[in-house]
Amino acid sequence: MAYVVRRLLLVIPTLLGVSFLAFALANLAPGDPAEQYLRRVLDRVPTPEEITEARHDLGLDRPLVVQFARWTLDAAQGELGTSYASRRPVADEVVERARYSLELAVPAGLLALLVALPVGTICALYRSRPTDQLVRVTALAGASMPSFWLGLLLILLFAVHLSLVPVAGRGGPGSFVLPVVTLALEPAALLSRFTRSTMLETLGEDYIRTARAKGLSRRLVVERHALRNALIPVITYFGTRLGHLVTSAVIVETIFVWPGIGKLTVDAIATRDFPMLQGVVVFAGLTFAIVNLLVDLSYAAIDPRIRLATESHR
Amino acid sequence: MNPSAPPTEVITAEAHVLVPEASRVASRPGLLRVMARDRTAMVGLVIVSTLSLAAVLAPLLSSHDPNAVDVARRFLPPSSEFPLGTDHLGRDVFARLLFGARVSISSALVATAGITAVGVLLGMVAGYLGGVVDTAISRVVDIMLALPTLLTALAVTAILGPGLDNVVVGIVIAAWPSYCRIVRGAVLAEREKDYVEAARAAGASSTRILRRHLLPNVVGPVVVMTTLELGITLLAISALSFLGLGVTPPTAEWGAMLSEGRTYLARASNMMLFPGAAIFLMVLGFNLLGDGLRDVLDPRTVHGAAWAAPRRRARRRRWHDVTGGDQALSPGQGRD
Repeated sequence: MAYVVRRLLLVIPTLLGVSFLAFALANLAPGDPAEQYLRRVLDRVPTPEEITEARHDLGLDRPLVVQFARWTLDAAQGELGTSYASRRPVADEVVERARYSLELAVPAGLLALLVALPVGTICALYRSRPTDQLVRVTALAGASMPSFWLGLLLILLFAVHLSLVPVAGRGGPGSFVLPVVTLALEPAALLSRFTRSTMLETLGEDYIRTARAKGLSRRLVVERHALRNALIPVITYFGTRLGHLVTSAVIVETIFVWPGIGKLTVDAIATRDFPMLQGVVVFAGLTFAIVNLLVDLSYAAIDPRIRLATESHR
Repeated sequence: MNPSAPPTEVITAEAHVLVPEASRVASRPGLLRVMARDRTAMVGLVIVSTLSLAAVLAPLLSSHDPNAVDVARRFLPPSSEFPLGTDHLGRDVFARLLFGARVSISSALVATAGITAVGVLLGMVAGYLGGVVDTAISRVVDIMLALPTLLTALAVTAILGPGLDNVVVGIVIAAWPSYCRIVRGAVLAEREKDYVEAARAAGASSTRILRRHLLPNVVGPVVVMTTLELGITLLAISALSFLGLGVTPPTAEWGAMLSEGRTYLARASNMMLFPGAAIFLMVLGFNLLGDGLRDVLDPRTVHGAAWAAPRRRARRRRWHDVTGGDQALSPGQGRD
């Protein structure tokens, strides 16, 4: 329990840091934010008086520390400002679009796990045999494959030439296939590499030899002892990969014209919609922090040594 | 273009001078000779050198101007005159690929050099000095790593405005922290060793200890990381370029070419196939090379007890992972 509390408290400085990054981003942007804001709202060049007034209204004339504190407090309450482009609250739009991204990320994560776990385990068990080598080369190639190229190749083959699925856009079940596969390739490749090396390490441990020595079958040793222990780091790794699906979404959603958070980011950049960009950064940081938190907690739940270590350290 | 060569020379030149222990990495029999026995590394080296050589010799390999527009010869299929066909403006795709290689590869080199310089410097300073300096640097690293690297790079580039220079700056700002963390860990592990103590007792200054004794000993992981980082950086630059943040037209660059090719996907697939294949091959080359180098240099031996106790196993895995395959992804990944 103490571990859980400690770990929960650790999230706070991380989120403060993310909030600072997001705040700094908008302040580093060239040009006066008040002027930019007015240009959007008025659709003309604002007068100096209007700018001064807007600076006051937006709180831009106060010290940076105050501005940062205000921004952070607002952000903590889910108040992320108003989009320059759509004039809607940033938080609403981010949450709305995140749903579409999840529709891709969840199946992609599961697909990656479903492929990588058996493949990695088999490679470790048949180390250096042809199967292992073939899979290793494939995995390395998969990890080197630019997702934006893979997406286009898949579209060319399955949508343009074979007409099996739509080229882009979010529609029926068919429209999910290509984006999910594109999104899943990289984590699948990395995760199988990782599973393999972790399994190999685990298989070399003393307790595996002990289990074999006391007469357990190979199959039982792998299932009961090796896989269970190897699973811990694999879960950690999978968790960190999940956080990265947010980033991969930027590319994949652009290619497949998917209305998720990645597309929102690219559109915000194109229209220089800084409040929206800040909102996306905060959202990504939050997602990342939560995923890492869950990974660490599940890790502690699986491996009692971690709980014990923390408690004895206090 | 063998990224491993210069650092290796540095080690051999410096490490034997004072303290024999400091030469652990260097004392391995000729890096190149060991590598020659590693097939994956050699394949990687061949791919990387071939593509780099093609970039250097671009004007000799193609007689066409990469930017010469000729509407009369738009969308030509591959032929003897245009080995990879032409694009939507009638430009020679082969010539653009060659000249694009110069832009893509050199910007990846510059960005990686920047990341390595900042990461190694701050990582060594933090690890060696400890105390307030270490705390300050480590906190910044923690915060930066709380966001996916590509997103930070994307946001920074977006703020700075489009352009290849800004893409490189954005990537350096986003990517140095993971480097810094690993170098710091390696330095922490080395710092307590006898040869450092011996050097300090002999009156060596901190700068000298850092430069002459610690640097050669963390060079193993750094070489591996840098090689893998070249691939990641190339992917990141192409990705940002693909999203329209990179070069300004008509400059040829692989990511930008791919982005143009996307528009004419059905009509002229050659515009999309070849730049993508070039990026893929180059990244694969760096990954194979980095993988092979890791087997040779095995940086895990340099590493060790540097991580905090409660999450030790996890951290160690991640390290392994970083030098393992993790870095072989796209930017930002694997650096949690």
